[in-house]
Amino acid sequence: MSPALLPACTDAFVDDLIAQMQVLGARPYSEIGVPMFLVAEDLTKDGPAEAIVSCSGNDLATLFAQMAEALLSRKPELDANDIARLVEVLADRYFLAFATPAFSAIGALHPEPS
Amino acid sequence: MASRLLLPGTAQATLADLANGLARSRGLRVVNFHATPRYREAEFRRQIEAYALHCEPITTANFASAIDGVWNHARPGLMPVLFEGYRDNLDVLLPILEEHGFTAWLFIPSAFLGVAEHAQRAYAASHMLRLPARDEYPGQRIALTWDEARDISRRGHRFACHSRTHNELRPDTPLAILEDEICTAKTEMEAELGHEVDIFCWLRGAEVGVNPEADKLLRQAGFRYLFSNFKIQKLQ
Repeated sequence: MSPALLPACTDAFVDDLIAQMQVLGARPYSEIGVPMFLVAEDLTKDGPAEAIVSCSGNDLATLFAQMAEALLSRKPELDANDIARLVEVLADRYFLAFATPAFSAIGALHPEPS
Repeated sequence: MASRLLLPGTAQATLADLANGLARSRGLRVVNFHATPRYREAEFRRQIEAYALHCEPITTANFASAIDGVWNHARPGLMPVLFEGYRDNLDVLLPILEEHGFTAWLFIPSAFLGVAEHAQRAYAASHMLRLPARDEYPGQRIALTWDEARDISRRGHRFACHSRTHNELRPDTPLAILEDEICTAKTEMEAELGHEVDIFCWLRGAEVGVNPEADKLLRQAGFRYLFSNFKIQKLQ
Protein backbone atom coordinates (compact mmCIF):
# COMPACT_ATOMS: atom_id res chain seq x y z
CA MET A 1 0.00 0.00 0.00
CA SER A 2 1.31 3.40 -0.91
CA PRO A 3 2.17 5.37 2.24
CA ALA A 4 -0.01 8.16 0.84
CA LEU A 5 -3.02 5.84 1.07
CA LEU A 6 -2.40 4.81 4.67
CA PRO A 7 -4.55 6.56 7.25
CA ALA A 8 -2.44 8.99 9.22
CA CYS A 9 -1.37 7.61 12.60
CA THR A 10 -2.74 10.50 14.59
CA ASP A 11 -3.99 10.53 18.17
CA ALA A 12 -7.49 10.27 16.74
CA PHE A 13 -6.47 7.14 14.80
CA VAL A 14 -5.16 5.52 17.97
CA ASP A 15 -8.27 6.56 19.92
CA ASP A 16 -10.51 5.04 17.24
CA LEU A 17 -8.48 1.85 17.20
CA ILE A 18 -8.66 1.40 20.96
CA ALA A 19 -12.37 2.22 20.98
CA GLN A 20 -13.02 -0.34 18.26
CA MET A 21 -11.00 -2.96 20.16
CA GLN A 22 -13.21 -2.35 23.19
CA VAL A 23 -16.42 -2.54 21.20
CA LEU A 24 -15.40 -5.78 19.49
CA GLY A 25 -14.21 -7.25 22.77
CA ALA A 26 -17.65 -6.75 24.29
CA ARG A 27 -19.42 -8.92 21.71
CA PRO A 28 -21.11 -12.16 22.80
CA TYR A 29 -18.40 -14.38 21.30
CA SER A 30 -20.12 -17.60 22.36
CA GLU A 31 -23.05 -17.08 20.03
CA ILE A 32 -21.92 -15.01 17.03
CA GLY A 33 -19.63 -15.54 14.05
CA VAL A 34 -16.31 -13.75 14.55
CA PRO A 35 -14.17 -13.18 11.44
CA MET A 36 -10.41 -13.57 11.89
CA PHE A 37 -7.29 -13.81 9.80
CA LEU A 38 -5.13 -16.83 10.65
CA VAL A 39 -1.64 -17.02 9.20
CA ALA A 40 -0.62 -20.36 7.72
CA GLU A 41 2.82 -21.49 8.81
CA ASP A 42 4.60 -24.55 7.47
CA LEU A 43 6.79 -25.94 10.23
CA THR A 44 8.00 -28.80 8.05
CA LYS A 45 10.19 -26.45 5.99
CA ASP A 46 13.26 -24.52 7.06
CA GLY A 47 13.32 -20.80 6.58
CA PRO A 48 10.55 -18.37 5.74
CA ALA A 49 7.76 -19.31 3.39
CA GLU A 50 8.27 -18.42 -0.24
CA ALA A 51 7.06 -14.91 -0.95
CA ILE A 52 4.00 -14.61 -3.13
CA VAL A 53 3.20 -11.46 -5.02
CA SER A 54 -0.05 -10.13 -3.68
CA CYS A 55 -1.18 -6.55 -3.35
CA SER A 56 -3.87 -7.44 -0.84
CA GLY A 57 -1.44 -9.43 1.29
CA ASN A 58 1.03 -6.55 1.38
CA ASP A 59 -1.73 -4.08 2.11
CA LEU A 60 -3.16 -6.16 4.94
CA ALA A 61 0.31 -6.56 6.42
CA THR A 62 0.95 -2.82 6.20
CA LEU A 63 -2.37 -1.96 7.81
CA PHE A 64 -1.80 -4.52 10.56
CA ALA A 65 1.70 -3.22 11.24
CA GLN A 66 0.40 0.32 11.43
CA MET A 67 -2.32 -0.67 13.90
CA ALA A 68 0.24 -2.55 16.00
CA GLU A 69 2.56 0.45 16.09
CA ALA A 70 -0.35 2.71 16.98
CA LEU A 71 -1.37 0.50 19.88
CA LEU A 72 2.23 0.14 21.06
CA SER A 73 2.46 3.92 21.24
CA ARG A 74 -0.13 3.84 24.03
CA LYS A 75 0.56 0.42 25.52
CA PRO A 76 4.21 -0.60 25.10
CA GLU A 77 3.70 -4.04 26.65
CA LEU A 78 1.15 -5.91 24.55
CA ASP A 79 -0.08 -9.36 25.49
CA ALA A 80 -1.74 -12.09 23.43
CA ASN A 81 -5.22 -10.78 24.20
CA ASP A 82 -4.27 -7.39 22.75
CA ILE A 83 -2.95 -9.05 19.60
CA ALA A 84 -6.13 -11.12 19.26
CA ARG A 85 -8.19 -7.95 19.46
CA LEU A 86 -5.96 -6.23 16.89
CA VAL A 87 -6.49 -9.06 14.43
CA GLU A 88 -10.23 -8.84 15.09
CA VAL A 89 -10.14 -5.15 14.20
CA LEU A 90 -8.17 -5.92 11.04
CA ALA A 91 -10.77 -8.52 10.08
CA ASP A 92 -13.67 -6.29 11.04
CA ARG A 93 -12.38 -3.53 8.75
CA TYR A 94 -10.89 -5.47 5.84
CA PHE A 95 -12.17 -9.08 5.82
CA LEU A 96 -14.38 -8.43 2.81
CA ALA A 97 -12.86 -5.17 1.57
CA PHE A 98 -9.74 -7.02 0.45
CA ALA A 99 -11.64 -10.04 -0.84
CA THR A 100 -12.50 -8.57 -4.21
CA PRO A 101 -10.44 -10.23 -6.94
CA ALA A 102 -8.47 -8.31 -9.53
CA PHE A 103 -10.73 -6.88 -12.22
CA SER A 104 -9.20 -9.14 -14.84
CA ALA A 105 -9.95 -12.19 -12.69
CA ILE A 106 -13.67 -11.60 -12.40
CA GLY A 107 -14.96 -14.21 -14.83
CA ALA A 108 -18.40 -12.71 -15.14
CA LEU A 109 -16.89 -9.51 -16.55
CA HIS A 110 -14.68 -11.34 -19.01
CA PRO A 111 -16.68 -14.27 -20.39
CA GLU A 112 -14.96 -16.64 -22.72
CA PRO A 113 -15.95 -15.87 -26.33
CA SER A 114 -18.47 -18.39 -27.58
CA MET B 1 -8.58 -21.58 35.31
CA ALA B 2 -6.39 -18.82 33.85
CA SER B 3 -8.06 -16.74 31.19
CA ARG B 4 -5.04 -15.23 29.46
CA LEU B 5 -4.01 -16.41 26.04
CA LEU B 6 -0.46 -17.72 25.91
CA LEU B 7 2.27 -17.00 23.37
CA PRO B 8 5.34 -19.17 22.78
CA GLY B 9 7.59 -16.10 22.72
CA THR B 10 7.34 -12.34 22.88
CA ALA B 11 4.42 -10.27 21.65
CA GLN B 12 6.81 -8.51 19.26
CA ALA B 13 7.77 -11.84 17.71
CA THR B 14 4.12 -12.77 17.21
CA LEU B 15 3.36 -9.37 15.65
CA ALA B 16 6.27 -9.84 13.25
CA ASP B 17 5.14 -13.39 12.37
CA LEU B 18 1.65 -12.14 11.59
CA ALA B 19 2.76 -9.17 9.51
CA ASN B 20 5.20 -11.34 7.55
CA GLY B 21 2.61 -14.05 7.02
CA LEU B 22 0.01 -11.57 5.80
CA ALA B 23 2.53 -9.98 3.44
CA ARG B 24 3.25 -13.41 1.96
CA SER B 25 -0.46 -13.97 1.33
CA ARG B 26 -0.63 -16.63 4.04
CA GLY B 27 -3.56 -14.94 5.79
CA LEU B 28 -6.61 -17.20 5.72
CA ARG B 29 -10.12 -15.96 6.33
CA VAL B 30 -11.69 -17.90 9.19
CA VAL B 31 -15.01 -17.23 10.93
CA ASN B 32 -15.27 -18.64 14.43
CA PHE B 33 -18.67 -19.80 15.66
CA HIS B 34 -19.60 -21.51 18.91
CA ALA B 35 -23.29 -21.88 19.78
CA THR B 36 -25.52 -20.86 16.89
CA PRO B 37 -28.96 -20.24 18.40
CA ARG B 38 -32.10 -19.96 16.31
CA TYR B 39 -32.76 -16.43 17.54
CA ARG B 40 -29.65 -15.33 15.61
CA GLU B 41 -30.53 -17.25 12.46
CA ALA B 42 -31.26 -14.13 10.36
CA GLU B 43 -27.93 -12.61 11.41
CA PHE B 44 -26.07 -15.79 10.47
CA ARG B 45 -27.84 -15.87 7.12
CA ARG B 46 -26.88 -12.29 6.26
CA GLN B 47 -23.31 -12.97 7.32
CA ILE B 48 -22.93 -16.13 5.23
CA GLU B 49 -24.62 -14.51 2.23
CA ALA B 50 -22.04 -11.71 2.35
CA TYR B 51 -19.17 -14.19 2.53
CA ALA B 52 -20.61 -16.18 -0.37
CA LEU B 53 -20.47 -13.09 -2.58
CA HIS B 54 -16.77 -12.56 -1.96
CA CYS B 55 -15.16 -15.84 -0.90
CA GLU B 56 -14.55 -19.38 -2.10
CA PRO B 57 -15.22 -22.29 0.27
CA ILE B 58 -12.14 -23.94 1.74
CA THR B 59 -12.94 -27.63 1.47
CA THR B 60 -11.19 -30.86 2.34
CA ALA B 61 -10.03 -31.00 -1.29
CA ASN B 62 -8.44 -27.55 -1.45
CA PHE B 63 -7.37 -27.12 2.19
CA ALA B 64 -3.75 -28.05 1.50
CA SER B 65 -3.48 -25.47 -1.27
CA ALA B 66 -4.88 -22.79 1.01
CA ILE B 67 -2.23 -23.63 3.61
CA ASP B 68 0.65 -24.04 1.17
CA GLY B 69 -0.01 -20.72 -0.54
CA VAL B 70 -0.79 -22.19 -3.96
CA TRP B 71 -4.47 -21.27 -3.81
CA ASN B 72 -5.58 -20.83 -7.40
CA HIS B 73 -9.02 -19.26 -7.12
CA ALA B 74 -9.59 -15.61 -7.99
CA ARG B 75 -11.48 -15.16 -4.73
CA PRO B 76 -9.95 -15.85 -1.32
CA GLY B 77 -10.87 -18.94 0.65
CA LEU B 78 -13.08 -18.98 3.72
CA MET B 79 -13.36 -21.46 6.57
CA PRO B 80 -16.38 -21.35 8.89
CA VAL B 81 -15.11 -23.04 12.08
CA LEU B 82 -17.77 -24.35 14.47
CA PHE B 83 -16.41 -24.97 17.95
CA GLU B 84 -17.64 -27.36 20.65
CA GLY B 85 -20.17 -29.61 18.87
CA TYR B 86 -23.40 -27.90 19.84
CA ARG B 87 -26.68 -29.28 18.58
CA ASP B 88 -27.75 -25.88 17.23
CA ASN B 89 -24.85 -25.96 14.77
CA LEU B 90 -26.66 -28.75 12.97
CA ASP B 91 -30.13 -27.29 13.39
CA VAL B 92 -29.41 -23.65 12.51
CA LEU B 93 -26.06 -22.87 10.90
CA LEU B 94 -25.26 -25.96 8.86
CA PRO B 95 -28.27 -25.63 6.52
CA ILE B 96 -27.26 -22.02 5.77
CA LEU B 97 -23.66 -23.00 5.08
CA GLU B 98 -24.78 -25.83 2.82
CA GLU B 99 -27.16 -23.55 0.96
CA HIS B 100 -24.16 -21.41 0.03
CA GLY B 101 -21.76 -24.25 -0.64
CA PHE B 102 -19.51 -23.78 2.37
CA THR B 103 -17.76 -26.61 4.16
CA ALA B 104 -18.13 -26.47 7.93
CA TRP B 105 -15.05 -27.25 10.02
CA LEU B 106 -16.27 -28.68 13.32
CA PHE B 107 -13.81 -28.59 16.24
CA ILE B 108 -15.09 -30.99 18.89
CA PRO B 109 -13.96 -31.84 22.42
CA SER B 110 -14.64 -35.54 21.98
CA ALA B 111 -15.82 -36.29 25.52
CA PHE B 112 -18.65 -33.75 25.30
CA LEU B 113 -20.57 -35.81 22.76
CA GLY B 114 -20.45 -38.81 25.08
CA VAL B 115 -21.90 -37.03 28.12
CA ALA B 116 -25.39 -38.20 29.11
CA GLU B 117 -28.15 -35.80 28.06
CA HIS B 118 -29.16 -34.86 31.58
CA ALA B 119 -25.56 -34.04 32.52
CA GLN B 120 -24.59 -31.98 29.47
CA ARG B 121 -25.38 -28.56 30.92
CA ALA B 122 -23.43 -29.25 34.10
CA TYR B 123 -20.55 -30.61 32.03
CA ALA B 124 -20.62 -27.51 29.85
CA ALA B 125 -20.59 -25.23 32.90
CA SER B 126 -17.55 -26.97 34.35
CA HIS B 127 -15.61 -27.18 31.09
CA MET B 128 -15.79 -23.63 29.69
CA LEU B 129 -18.41 -24.63 27.14
CA ARG B 130 -20.50 -21.47 27.01
CA LEU B 131 -24.17 -21.72 26.19
CA PRO B 132 -26.30 -19.09 24.49
CA ALA B 133 -28.17 -16.55 26.57
CA ARG B 134 -31.49 -18.24 25.84
CA ASP B 135 -31.88 -22.02 26.18
CA GLU B 136 -33.62 -23.30 23.05
CA TYR B 137 -33.59 -26.96 24.09
CA PRO B 138 -35.02 -26.95 27.62
CA GLY B 139 -34.91 -30.41 29.12
CA GLN B 140 -33.17 -31.81 26.06
CA ARG B 141 -29.61 -32.45 24.95
CA ILE B 142 -27.45 -29.54 23.79
CA ALA B 143 -24.61 -31.48 22.15
CA LEU B 144 -24.52 -33.26 18.83
CA THR B 145 -24.81 -37.03 18.97
CA TRP B 146 -22.15 -39.17 17.33
CA ASP B 147 -24.80 -40.36 14.86
CA GLU B 148 -25.35 -36.75 13.86
CA ALA B 149 -21.61 -36.16 13.65
CA ARG B 150 -21.21 -39.12 11.32
CA ASP B 151 -24.02 -37.80 9.14
CA ILE B 152 -22.43 -34.33 9.04
CA SER B 153 -19.14 -35.92 8.04
CA ARG B 154 -20.82 -37.89 5.24
CA ARG B 155 -22.25 -34.60 3.97
CA GLY B 156 -18.70 -33.38 3.29
CA HIS B 157 -17.95 -31.33 6.37
CA ARG B 158 -14.74 -31.87 8.29
CA PHE B 159 -14.09 -32.63 11.94
CA ALA B 160 -11.11 -31.58 14.03
CA CYS B 161 -10.06 -32.47 17.56
CA HIS B 162 -10.56 -29.71 20.12
CA SER B 163 -8.89 -31.75 22.90
CA ARG B 164 -10.88 -34.37 24.82
CA THR B 165 -12.39 -32.35 27.65
CA HIS B 166 -12.03 -28.81 26.29
CA ASN B 167 -8.73 -28.36 28.06
CA GLU B 168 -6.35 -25.43 28.00
CA LEU B 169 -2.67 -26.09 27.37
CA ARG B 170 -0.24 -24.62 29.89
CA PRO B 171 3.56 -24.90 29.91
CA ASP B 172 3.30 -27.26 32.89
CA THR B 173 0.35 -29.43 31.86
CA PRO B 174 1.23 -32.95 33.12
CA LEU B 175 2.04 -35.67 30.62
CA ALA B 176 -0.87 -37.90 31.68
CA ILE B 177 -3.31 -35.11 30.88
CA LEU B 178 -1.59 -34.38 27.58
CA GLU B 179 -1.93 -38.03 26.61
CA ASP B 180 -5.63 -38.02 27.43
CA GLU B 181 -6.36 -34.72 25.69
CA ILE B 182 -4.33 -35.55 22.59
CA CYS B 183 -4.04 -39.31 22.10
CA THR B 184 -7.26 -40.57 23.72
CA ALA B 185 -9.24 -37.80 22.05
CA LYS B 186 -7.89 -38.72 18.62
CA THR B 187 -8.60 -42.41 19.13
CA GLU B 188 -12.09 -41.65 20.43
CA MET B 189 -12.99 -39.32 17.56
CA GLU B 190 -11.65 -41.61 14.87
CA ALA B 191 -13.45 -44.63 16.33
CA GLU B 192 -16.74 -42.75 16.36
CA LEU B 193 -16.40 -41.01 13.00
CA GLY B 194 -14.79 -43.91 11.19
CA HIS B 195 -12.06 -41.83 9.56
CA GLU B 196 -8.84 -40.04 10.35
CA VAL B 197 -8.82 -36.74 12.26
CA ASP B 198 -5.61 -34.82 11.60
CA ILE B 199 -6.33 -31.28 12.87
CA PHE B 200 -6.01 -30.25 16.52
CA CYS B 201 -6.83 -27.07 18.46
CA TRP B 202 -6.52 -26.32 22.17
CA LEU B 203 -8.99 -24.35 24.24
CA ARG B 204 -7.63 -20.77 24.12
CA GLY B 205 -5.61 -21.64 21.04
CA ALA B 206 -2.08 -22.31 22.25
CA GLU B 207 0.38 -22.66 19.39
CA VAL B 208 3.55 -24.67 18.90
CA GLY B 209 6.17 -23.72 21.47
CA VAL B 210 3.93 -23.16 24.48
CA ASN B 211 4.55 -26.74 25.67
CA PRO B 212 7.17 -28.72 23.72
CA GLU B 213 5.98 -32.03 25.22
CA ALA B 214 2.52 -31.39 23.82
CA ASP B 215 3.99 -30.53 20.42
CA LYS B 216 5.88 -33.81 20.41
CA LEU B 217 2.78 -35.80 21.36
CA LEU B 218 0.68 -34.08 18.68
CA ARG B 219 3.15 -35.19 16.02
CA GLN B 220 3.49 -38.70 17.48
CA ALA B 221 -0.29 -39.09 17.53
CA GLY B 222 -0.41 -38.21 13.84
CA PHE B 223 -1.89 -34.73 13.84
CA ARG B 224 -0.81 -32.77 10.77
CA TYR B 225 -2.15 -29.30 11.60
CA LEU B 226 -2.52 -27.20 14.74
CA PHE B 227 -5.03 -24.34 14.72
CA SER B 228 -4.21 -21.60 17.21
CA ASN B 229 -5.29 -18.06 18.00
CA PHE B 230 -3.28 -16.55 15.18
CA LYS B 231 -1.95 -19.38 13.05
CA ILE B 232 -2.63 -22.62 11.26
CA GLN B 233 0.60 -24.54 11.71
CA LYS B 234 1.50 -27.48 9.52
CA LEU B 235 3.19 -29.94 11.87
CA GLN B 236 4.23 -32.75 9.51
